[in-house]
Amino acid sequence: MSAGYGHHGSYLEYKGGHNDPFWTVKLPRTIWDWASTIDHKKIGVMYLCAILFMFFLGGMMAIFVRTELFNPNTVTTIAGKTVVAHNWIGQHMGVGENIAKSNEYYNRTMTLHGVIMVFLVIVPSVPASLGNFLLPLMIGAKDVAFPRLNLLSWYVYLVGSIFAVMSLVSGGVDTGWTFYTPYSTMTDDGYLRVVWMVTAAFILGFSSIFTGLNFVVTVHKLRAPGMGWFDMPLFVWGIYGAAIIQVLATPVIGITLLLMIFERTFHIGIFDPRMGGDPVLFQHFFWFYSHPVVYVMILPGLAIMNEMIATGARKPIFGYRAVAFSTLAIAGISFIVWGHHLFTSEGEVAAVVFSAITFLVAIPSAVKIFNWIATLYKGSICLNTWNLYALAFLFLFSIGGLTGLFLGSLAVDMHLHDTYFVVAHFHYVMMGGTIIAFIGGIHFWWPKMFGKMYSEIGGTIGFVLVFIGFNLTFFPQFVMGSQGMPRRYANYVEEYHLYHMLSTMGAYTLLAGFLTHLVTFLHSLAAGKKAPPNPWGSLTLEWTNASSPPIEHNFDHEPVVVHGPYDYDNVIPPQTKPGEFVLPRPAAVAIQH
Amino acid sequence: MTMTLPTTLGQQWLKEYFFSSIGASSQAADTENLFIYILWINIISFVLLMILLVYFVAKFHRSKQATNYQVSAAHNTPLELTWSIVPLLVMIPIFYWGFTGFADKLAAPQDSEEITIKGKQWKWSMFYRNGASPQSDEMELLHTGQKVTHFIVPLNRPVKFIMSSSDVIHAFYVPDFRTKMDVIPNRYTSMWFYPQKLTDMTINPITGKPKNPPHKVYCAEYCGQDHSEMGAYMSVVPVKEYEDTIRQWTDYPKTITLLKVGEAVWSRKGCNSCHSVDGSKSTGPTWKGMYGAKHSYTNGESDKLVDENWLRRNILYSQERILLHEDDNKVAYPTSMPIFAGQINELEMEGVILYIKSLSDATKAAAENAGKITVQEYRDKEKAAKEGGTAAPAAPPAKP
Repeated sequence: MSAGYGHHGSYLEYKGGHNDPFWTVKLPRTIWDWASTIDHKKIGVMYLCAILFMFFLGGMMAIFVRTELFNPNTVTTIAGKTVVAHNWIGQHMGVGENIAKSNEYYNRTMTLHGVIMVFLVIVPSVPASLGNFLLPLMIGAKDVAFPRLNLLSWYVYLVGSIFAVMSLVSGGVDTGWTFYTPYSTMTDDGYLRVVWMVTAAFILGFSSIFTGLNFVVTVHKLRAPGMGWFDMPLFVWGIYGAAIIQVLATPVIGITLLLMIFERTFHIGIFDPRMGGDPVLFQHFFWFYSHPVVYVMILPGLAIMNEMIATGARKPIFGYRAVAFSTLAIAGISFIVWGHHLFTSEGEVAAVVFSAITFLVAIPSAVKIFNWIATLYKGSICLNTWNLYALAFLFLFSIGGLTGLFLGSLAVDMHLHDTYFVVAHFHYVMMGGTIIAFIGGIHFWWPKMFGKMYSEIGGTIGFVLVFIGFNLTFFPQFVMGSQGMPRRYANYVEEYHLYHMLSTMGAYTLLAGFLTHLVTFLHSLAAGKKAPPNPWGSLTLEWTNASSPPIEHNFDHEPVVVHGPYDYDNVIPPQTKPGEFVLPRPAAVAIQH
Repeated sequence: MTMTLPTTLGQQWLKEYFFSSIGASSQAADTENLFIYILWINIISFVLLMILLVYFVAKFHRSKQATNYQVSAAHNTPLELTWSIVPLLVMIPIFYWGFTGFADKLAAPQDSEEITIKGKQWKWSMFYRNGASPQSDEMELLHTGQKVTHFIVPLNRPVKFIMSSSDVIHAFYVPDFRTKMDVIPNRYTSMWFYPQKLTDMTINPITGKPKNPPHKVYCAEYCGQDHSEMGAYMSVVPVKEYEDTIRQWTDYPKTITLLKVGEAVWSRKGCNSCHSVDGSKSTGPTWKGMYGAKHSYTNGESDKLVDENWLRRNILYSQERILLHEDDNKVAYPTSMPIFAGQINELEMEGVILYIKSLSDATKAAAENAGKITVQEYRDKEKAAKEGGTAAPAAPPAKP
């Protein structure tokens, strides 16, 4: 692939003259080049930076929350005098004896953690950053179908983020990320910050729709010659499934949030019970979007897993079609399970139907896990940082998925609903699933994106800290939850103290792990070795046909697909080091997927 | 439906670890059993998966690829069908068991003791069938020193909570009964359970903790600033004690006067919807000037004086006499007043009679004087009369 450097430079390269003065020409031009780019790779990288920044912000909120919960507030009477021993926020925010004030700080921090992590990080995380960067490369296209729409979606994301930050600096909101009415239409009356935050989520929805639409069309129309639907890498299938949900479900939340803004501003009486509105209606609307969107979050994570597992084991994904169809099955069923968020809302009989369908959606998710473990069989498994993340995903996502059985079961959910058990469950799925796959994916494609290798030692240390920290943070929350600790509590009774302490120590370990990764990546950018085009010996197009980093138009010539994305049985990946890759048997007996 | 688990699987220590307490009702025990059943399915599935994972990673590590890296089938339909169908079969009983438990937790028996629960930022209030509210010494729930309501439910009697909220959505969560339900403004939701264990505050000598402390109640739906302080304590007491206690708990603060109680009865019992106190016309006769007036009735009485006995009798059995109009001897008002026998207690009765007396100019001063006694003093007198045994019942107010 060295030919790639012939007449085109890397997409990261400065296009002006070599002797341009830095401050007056080079810097402004570089900024303009990036700000006005319609190159999906640059947009992907910009998204990646923004999302990682937001991840840091949301993560710091989580650290505040955990720090606050390390100790409960205590009030004791010593010699007839009431003595308040504050927890962390109380001590550091200058609230004096006022516990209500410290509760309020907690509620706002907890809400910001949720809003930032859901709307600004995890929904756009994989599709907008890695998806944008890789989708055209993987299907052999020059760019996405609508490059300008792609740039627009980035700016819409930016505007949405600005609204969120405006809300944050003007005091933040205390509604919880779910914005349940009528609390959300009553709280902070007279302030605009709730409206700003809801507007932010509304605007971010458009960014999501644009990206989704773009990807659906790209997958349908821009596949390279020879690439049928079942020759696509499964990453593309996952992104495609998520994109369909984004396009179909996001308008519902758009309308719902708009109605909520009207309710707050003009008091139209749709959700407000004082005016004859129905507050539970909001929950139905909200989850009609937000449940499918859970799969917008997880499908791209599952998508990344396919690439890491196949490359890491050098095996075709076991049961390719089953995995592809399970993606579509999940996307489809995801639209009819929203009611399982409302099992304890009114005790409706309809809950029975939702419970049954919820169990049904577990099947395709389980099938994927089984397929990946079967893929490892007779493989050649490496333990690079990214493959450690892939294996950790199997561990964590299995726990996340299995604990879902407790919550899908109606009688048990009556007990566990809105407790820490739910918090632990969705962190195991969302963070143990999507974020773990995302971090693994960043490691996996880092050499392709930036043309630099990173330190495996740094990566592995970071991984170990993240893995231990994650389990230490969230496993005790399962126990707390089944023992009855409700979620979104600024304060708690003594019996949960030990679990909260463990959880907080886990959160600090997680932070240390992520900071280790940050240092590793910065070191890689500054002093990393130059990456070969295909360092992991993968067979998908972005590795076999493009240089690292890719040239501006991705490929010298439009690639023609001659082998499947995981055809390790028949094809030795190019650019593999001599002797590193062994095919122990004649290619003739290869079994087609 | 109550299912049981083999004791080897449903071991008590597992339940104690995951629930920190033993469920306080049969539905709670059912939920615990289902939880432990799912837990074992979880553990077995997870361990199997991880054994395979670790074994494959060790056996097929890249360092061994010279020997172990081989072609294998890229798919296997029977295998894939098996691992799709088996989980489905495993889930069917979980679903069914969850459904029956859910139905059991929702459908309260007809003869349930009904308690009304109101959620309000950030306090729970309970109202018993006689209008009483908890007034026992309040307890501390959280370290914050937050005072929370401590209420009682009867032992071995189904208890149904009829709940609504006066502001935002709350959720009434009793972890020991393994159930919760949202409490929503503008509509009623309900939950029920069957308490089977008495609250017992005696100290267990081994653990140093109360043997069976009152059940904690939380708010489980985020409701704003003091969401985490919105709790309550619930004690299970014998039926006799329950009945006695709610009889003693009226919803009148101990410091208010008897006259105030009467005024409160006027609005709380709904008298105000038909009887005005300022002489204005309404569905029923006004209370202003009623005491001491003389009227004729459908039962043949004429020029009958309205006095204490008259008032008491007519409040309890309103249909006995119907007032006739002075001019044409026809029924003067609709005969739709409810019968209050059994609906009103002695304190309220005395209060409301005093209140009506205070609305007639002639008896105003005397009624106000007699009405100065507080609820606390009234209760003390009542108690003294009961214990003394010989003391006469509370003396009727002097006639004018």
